[in-house]
Amino acid sequence: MQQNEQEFIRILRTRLEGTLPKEELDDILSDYSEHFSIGKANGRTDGELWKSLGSPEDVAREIRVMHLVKKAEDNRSCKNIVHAVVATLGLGLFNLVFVLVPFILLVLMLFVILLVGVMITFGGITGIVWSLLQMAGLSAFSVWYSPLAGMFISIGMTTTGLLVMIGNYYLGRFFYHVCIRYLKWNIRVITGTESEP
Amino acid sequence: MKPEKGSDDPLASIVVGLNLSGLTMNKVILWLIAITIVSFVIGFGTLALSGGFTPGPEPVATPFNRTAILSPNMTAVPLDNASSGAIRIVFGAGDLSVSGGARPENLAEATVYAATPAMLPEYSVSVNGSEKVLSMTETGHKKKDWVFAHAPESWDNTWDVKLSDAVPFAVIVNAGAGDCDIQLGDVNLTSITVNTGAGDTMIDMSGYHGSRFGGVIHNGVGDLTFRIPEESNTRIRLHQGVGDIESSGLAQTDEYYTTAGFTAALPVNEITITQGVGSIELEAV
Repeated sequence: MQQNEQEFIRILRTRLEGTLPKEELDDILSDYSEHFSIGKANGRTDGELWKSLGSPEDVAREIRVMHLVKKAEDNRSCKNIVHAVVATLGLGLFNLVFVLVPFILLVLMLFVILLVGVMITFGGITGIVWSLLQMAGLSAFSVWYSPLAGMFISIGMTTTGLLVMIGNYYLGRFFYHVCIRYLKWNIRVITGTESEP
Repeated sequence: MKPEKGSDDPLASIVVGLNLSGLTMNKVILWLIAITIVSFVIGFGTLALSGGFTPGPEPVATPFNRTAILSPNMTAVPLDNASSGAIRIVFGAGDLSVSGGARPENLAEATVYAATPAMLPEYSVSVNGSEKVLSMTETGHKKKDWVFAHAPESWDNTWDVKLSDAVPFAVIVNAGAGDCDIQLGDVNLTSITVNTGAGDTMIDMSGYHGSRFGGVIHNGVGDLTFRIPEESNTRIRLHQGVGDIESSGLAQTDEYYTTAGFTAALPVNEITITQGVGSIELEAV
C-alpha cells in the first residue's frame, strides 16, 4: 500500500462514509488534504506526513467516535448514546471495563428504579380497586382493615409510583449528561486531543 | 431540569401539549407530591382513628402456638322443640364440611380446629316461631392489622358441622377462600344457598330422599361440583360465566339441566347456579 495523500484520503472517505453527513465529511477530507498540501510545500514527503498523522484507520475511528458523541450530545436519544458508547469501545479494549460495564450498570439501575415505580403504581391501582370492591362488598377477601383508609393509602402509593417514574426520567437525563462528559473525557485521555470533528 | 414550555424536555413538552391551562411539569410534580402527602396522612390517620394500629388481642399463628390452638373447639346446639332449623355459615379461609348426622337431641354440632382464635366462629342462636336458627360467623376479619396478610399456615382452619336429620333445614353458606364439602344426602332440606369465593366446593346430594327443596348457588373463582341423585325430580338453571361446564347424567336444554324422567308436574327441586370464573361439574348419580 502506497502511503500517499490520495490513499490516506481514500481510506478516510471509505471509513467515514455513511457515518458523517456529506458536507461534514467533505470538510474533514478537505482539511486533511490541505494538511498534506502545506506539508509538501514545506518540503515534507507523503510518507512523513502519513506517519505524523497516524494510520488513516485510527484517524477515521477517532473522528467517528467524536462525531457520534457530539451527535448524542446534540440529539438525546437511547439510540444515539448506545451508538456513542459502542463506538468508544473501538478505541481500546480496556473501554470494555471503563465504559461498557459502568454504562450497563447505570442502565440496569435506571431500569430497576423504573420497575419499582411501575410496581408501586400498579400496586396502588390494585389497592384502589380492591378498596372499592371491599366497600361494595364484592371482594372475596377483606384485604384492608379499613377500606376507606386503604383507598387513600392506595392513592398515595399510586402517586408515589408516578413520582418515582418521573424522578427516574430526570435521573436518566442527568446520567445521560454525565455519560456524555465521561465519554468525552475518555476520548481525550485516549487520543490526547480535545478537538471536535 | 427545565420543565417549562419551550424546553427540550420531552416529558415536560407532553404535559404542556395536553393544553391544560397553566399546566407545567413543575406543577404536575408538586400536585403529585401534595396528593401523596395528603393521601397518606388521611389514610394512616383513618387507620389510627379506627384502631388499625392497635395490636389485637389474638396472637398471630406461629409454629409454637399453632399446636396449642389447634385443639378442637366443639359446640352443640340443642334441638329443643324446634320443628325446623336453619344454619347460616360465614366462613373465610380453610376447610368447611357440612353434613347430616348430628345426635337426635341436637339441631347442629360444630367441631372447629383453628390455627388462631381469630378463625374461631362466633355462634348465635335465635328462634323464629318453631324454627331455630344457628349462625356461625368467622371473626378473623376483625383482626387489627391495616393490611391482612395471613400466612398460609394461619389458614389452618377446619370447621366440621353436622346437622340434624330429624327436622327440615335451610342451609346458607358464604365462603371466602375456603374449600367447602357439603354432604347433605341425609338431611331434609327446605332450601340451600351457597356463595363461594376462591375455594373449591363440592355439594353432594346423593342419596337424598327428603322433601322438595330450592337452591341458589353463586360460584366464584373456585371450582364447583354439584351432585344430585339421578332418580330425583331436579331442574338446574345454569347462568354461564367464564369457566368450563361439564355435566353427566343430565339432559340439557338451553340453560336448563334436568334429571332423567324429569316431570314438571311433580314437585321439583329447582336449583339456580350462577357461574363465576371457576369451572362447574354437574353430576346425576
